[in-house]
Amino acid sequence: MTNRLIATVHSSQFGARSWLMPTIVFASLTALVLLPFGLNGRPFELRLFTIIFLNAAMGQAWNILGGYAGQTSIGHAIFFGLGAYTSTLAGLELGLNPWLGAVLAMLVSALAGVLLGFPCFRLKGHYFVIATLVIAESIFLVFTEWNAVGAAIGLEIPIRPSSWLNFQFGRDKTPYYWIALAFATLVTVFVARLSSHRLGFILKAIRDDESAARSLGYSLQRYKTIAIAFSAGLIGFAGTFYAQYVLLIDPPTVLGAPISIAIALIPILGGIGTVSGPLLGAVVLTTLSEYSRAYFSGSGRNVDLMIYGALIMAIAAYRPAGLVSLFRRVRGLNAPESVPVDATAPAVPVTPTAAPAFERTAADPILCVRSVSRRFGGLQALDQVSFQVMRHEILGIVGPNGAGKSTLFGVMCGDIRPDSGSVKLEGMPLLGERSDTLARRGIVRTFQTPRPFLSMSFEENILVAALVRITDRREARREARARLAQVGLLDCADRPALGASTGQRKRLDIARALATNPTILLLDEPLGGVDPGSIPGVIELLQAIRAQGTTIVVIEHNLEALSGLADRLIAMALGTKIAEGAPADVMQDRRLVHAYLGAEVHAAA
Amino acid sequence: MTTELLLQLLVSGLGMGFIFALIAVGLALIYGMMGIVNFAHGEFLMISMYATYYAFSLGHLDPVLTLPLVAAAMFVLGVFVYYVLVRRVINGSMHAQIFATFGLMIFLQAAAQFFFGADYYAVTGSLLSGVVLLGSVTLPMPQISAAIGATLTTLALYVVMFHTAPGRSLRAVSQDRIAALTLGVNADRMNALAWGLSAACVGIAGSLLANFYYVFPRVGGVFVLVAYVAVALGGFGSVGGALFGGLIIGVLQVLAGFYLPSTLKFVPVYLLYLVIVLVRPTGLLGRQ
Amino acid sequence: MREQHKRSITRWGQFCSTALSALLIATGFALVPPSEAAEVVKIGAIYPLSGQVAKSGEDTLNAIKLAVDVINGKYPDSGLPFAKPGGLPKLGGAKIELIAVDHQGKPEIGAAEAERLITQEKVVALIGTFFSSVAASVGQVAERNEVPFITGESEATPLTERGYKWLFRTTPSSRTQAKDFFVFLRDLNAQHGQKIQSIALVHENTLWGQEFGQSITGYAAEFPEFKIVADISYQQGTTDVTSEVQRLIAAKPDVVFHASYDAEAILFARTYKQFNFTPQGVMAIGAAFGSSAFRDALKDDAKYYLVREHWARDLAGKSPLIESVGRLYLNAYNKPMDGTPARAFQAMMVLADAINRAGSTDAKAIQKALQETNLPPSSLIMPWEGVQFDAKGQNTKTRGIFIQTLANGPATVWPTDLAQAKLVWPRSGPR
Repeated sequence: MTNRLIATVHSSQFGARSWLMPTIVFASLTALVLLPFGLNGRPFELRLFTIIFLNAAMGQAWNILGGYAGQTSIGHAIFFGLGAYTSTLAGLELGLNPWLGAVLAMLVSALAGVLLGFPCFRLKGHYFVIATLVIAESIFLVFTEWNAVGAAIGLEIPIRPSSWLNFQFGRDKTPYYWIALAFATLVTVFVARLSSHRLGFILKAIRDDESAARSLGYSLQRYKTIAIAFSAGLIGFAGTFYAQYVLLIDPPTVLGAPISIAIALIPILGGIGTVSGPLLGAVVLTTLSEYSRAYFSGSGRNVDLMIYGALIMAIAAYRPAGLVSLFRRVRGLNAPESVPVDATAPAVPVTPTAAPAFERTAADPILCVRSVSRRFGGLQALDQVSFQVMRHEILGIVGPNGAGKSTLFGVMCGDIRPDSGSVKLEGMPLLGERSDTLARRGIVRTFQTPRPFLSMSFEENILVAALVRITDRREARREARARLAQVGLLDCADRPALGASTGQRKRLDIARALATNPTILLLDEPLGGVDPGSIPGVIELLQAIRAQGTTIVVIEHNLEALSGLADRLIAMALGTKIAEGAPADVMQDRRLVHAYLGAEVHAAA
Repeated sequence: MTTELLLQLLVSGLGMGFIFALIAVGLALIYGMMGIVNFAHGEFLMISMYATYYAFSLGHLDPVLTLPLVAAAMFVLGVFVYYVLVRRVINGSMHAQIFATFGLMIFLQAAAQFFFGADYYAVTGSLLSGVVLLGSVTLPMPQISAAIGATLTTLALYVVMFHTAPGRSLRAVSQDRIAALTLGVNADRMNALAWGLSAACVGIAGSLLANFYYVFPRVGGVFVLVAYVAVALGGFGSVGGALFGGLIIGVLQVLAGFYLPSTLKFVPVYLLYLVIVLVRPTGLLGRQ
Repeated sequence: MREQHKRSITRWGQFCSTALSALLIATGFALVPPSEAAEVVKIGAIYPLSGQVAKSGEDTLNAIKLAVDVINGKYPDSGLPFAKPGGLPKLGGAKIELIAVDHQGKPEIGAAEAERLITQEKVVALIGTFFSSVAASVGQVAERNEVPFITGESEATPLTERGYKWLFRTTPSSRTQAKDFFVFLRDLNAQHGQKIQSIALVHENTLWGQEFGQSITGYAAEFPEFKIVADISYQQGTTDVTSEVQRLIAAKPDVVFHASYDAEAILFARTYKQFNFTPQGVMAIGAAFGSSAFRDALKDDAKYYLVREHWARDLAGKSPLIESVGRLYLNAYNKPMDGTPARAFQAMMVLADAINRAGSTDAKAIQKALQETNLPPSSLIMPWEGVQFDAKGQNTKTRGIFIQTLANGPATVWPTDLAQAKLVWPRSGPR
């Protein structure tokens, strides 16, 4: 347990160990546990801390969906309210003990989360935010009208003798404090473990870049659903706690929009996607709002709310990564999209080999593309394209911009569905499966503009990919480091991917794709933006990859390099295949020259 | 349900719809420009309503006259808010943007109560009050003026965006900021312009709304959720979509309010939003 | 790698120490003892001072502040209790110190503030809370801490059904008020030859409105000559009421019973006018349809609305105190007093009277004094028959009035012995 605690507390660091951390944590926890005795029964402060703990727990829970999976919800009151109502109704109608009611509440809330996510995860950005808002508002209105749950009058929890069994404490509210503290601690530990767990990495990857995560083989729907189930379930317990704390619930108190906003504010202003963010946010925001209300609100001039609003604006404007950023750099989440120049690109001095060292045996088609067409509005991006990819070959795809090369890749890896035609992998047709399913079947692509997971280090980027098929963390890490070594980036393992140069990003992309152990690797312009000195190194890398048994399809504009690398070329222009064959032949093909350079030049040649 | 009644409901629904649309148009403009949802938009509405009210009660100026003044004042306010707050978060994460404007919303609501008190005020007896009777259908003047106002404002926006130099620069920045920058467009100024225009639009809405709705510090909250849904329904970024969305919502909520318990009259609106964005994830007229 | 390691340790250390400091500061606040003051009776007032009903909360709190000012001797010539010479005589002239706080409409905050006021500010009694849901929570706290809690305006009937011994309510409950609506109509039918049969019910859907709705439908059985033809409950903060009014028009009621706060009262009245909806009468609970804000907003169209009120300035003939308090309130706050501030003022007076009779700030003594309260009508600013609490803590001597807005302003029109002007029925339609 101690070891695990050390490890989890260090989850956002790079696995370092130390004695200082756990000492501080344990000391703080002990102080908090003993604090009530020092408060001399002052209910205001006791309540303040109880609410701080509750808010911290809820902030952490929100963060699972918002900070880790990247789905911003301003509708979490749904889960809070459903939790409160479920346990209360279970107690009133079924006589269920509140603790059991709490378990039921968590299940109901989790289920609600899954149901909400099922349609809504398809929505992007603000559409999702508004969707959560309106669903929460709808539930609020329905409950206000619904007599069976008490409508606007709400439900009262009958007062029982104070006891832990009854989950009620009358005069002395200290046990609520401890329950809240335990709740906050457990949720924090849970989130910290999650952060360094396979699931945490996957969620972070999804948050950073959904397309990239999907291209590696992760089903977005599945993982987001898991995230919301945890998030909602934990908030459900908070709802039950609140119901047992105030003993009276009604729609405005547990289902109102201000609750959703308050729950989301805490991790966002504290530090989204971090473990300490919600804690910091809970302490600062709760303390501020409680004290300012107690001492300033009596004038009726809303001075306390002005202060609150001003603080939120200040934090959002000056510390957009949250209060946590006052203490440490929070990587990647607010990064501008600029890519640093490849100033010190390590030139890998290897003499390029012209001929592949690998001998193919029989021509064995691994992928058959037949009469594939795809239209985007008025543009026919692909027009009856047919070809085959042979096992273990390096197939190049060339053609001027707008030829449809990337669209073709999209069709081959499942991002884009063709209007007509078929694609068969190892004889089995791809029946409109999405890219994550196909990635698991063995077709993985890289992107024209590299898409690293910016909040992670080089190694963590590959780790995410390795985790698709390797569940053991240690083994996955080994695989990640091996792939890093393969592309020559091992010394960058712990550097943030945010600072990677273009060339490094390209290689990182390739290593990441390799870590999924693909059968077919689709590389979209791996040499684009790479300086001439590094190109031979990349070529050698690709040859080595093929030597290990991976089939490669490459889109490239660098025809010279490609001719030394590819076994065969396919030339495309305006959505159709115009040539196919050995590189030397295709490059001479009139139609290709025509397409690239135009008729006049050809005539002049 | 007689045809008379149905007609009345439709007309009233459209009337409210134009008001929603007018409020939503400004939101759509900002989102189209820079991808920010201004959660303090309702508070801009509230401020313009207070301005109209005080001009009327203290200055005895009819809202029809003060409308352009209020719009101009709101324009200045919008630009001010951009430079002081929004500019800092414009390149940041969606969260920072959401919460910057949320903080502004809370602050403005509280400040309004601080300065104006919590009382309800209403403009009475302006030129735009009263009704027009068309057969058996009653057309309240404020709603008519809102309809005219919304249509004119949307048209004016289109004219500005497509036929003036600043408008073209605005669109350039919204489509490709970097490219626009390389062409010498001052993106910052364009963003400020967008905020100013958005605030002016909602200022017009507030000026018209004050003729029949009461003003108090929290009035923004009443209309703003509807505005968001209208914008999202029509498609974020599409001004025409916001107009369309507002009208649909206006009619739907009136019909729903007649047949369902009145408390639930917006639930079909919310359900419609969900259905539409699930089928077309970028709204009815939104950009793909 | 070591570098980063060290840096991250220091950062974590920084964070933890700061978090700990924040917590310690909070604790520091906790351990600072509250200031003690002698010769002062502290009373805690908990009201909604922000949000949708901030105005009502403010007005009510202002009335209580006025009462405290009167008791402390600021208006010695007003003729009001304790005004001259000021202070509570049996406590050596001790003055009252009012500590007010905002509950933001949330029962839990109300309870928390009640706890704080009792344990830290050491108030001897609580007054509040406008919202009945908050009153229920505060009542619980008062009960547990054995501190008297008086409410002058929280009307929900169940409040006094909990068996609380420390909660006292001077205002009539919602149910009591609802009965007046039917009695009034029956009166009209019997004495004035009207033939009123159908009633439409419109109410907002918070606790207050829904409770009123339930009370009305509950009483309908006792008054079988009336039929409820529509029951419309709407969401507070609605953007427009077209569909609601159209439903009302379709139901063709003789009379509309209305429960709305100020804001929607204006909206409904305007929409009624727009659609030319003219039932024989519109009767409302609560001050909204007769308030000065309403009259300012509606001008001529405010006429003939009836409000089931608690207090009216034109009843000054019955008691000079009514005139006195009405004038004071108007001068102090620039707006006329209506039933809710009046009730709050009265509640404060009742509390002060009880503390005075108790002769000490001992909670039990005050409780006993409250239980023994029996104030004659001449000492009240309300047109009641007195203030006397039953075993449940409910004042049983209240009386309701109906005020109608007429050409000269609002006037009491019912009951007959208190009427100052003649009732106009049915209300004329718009010209």
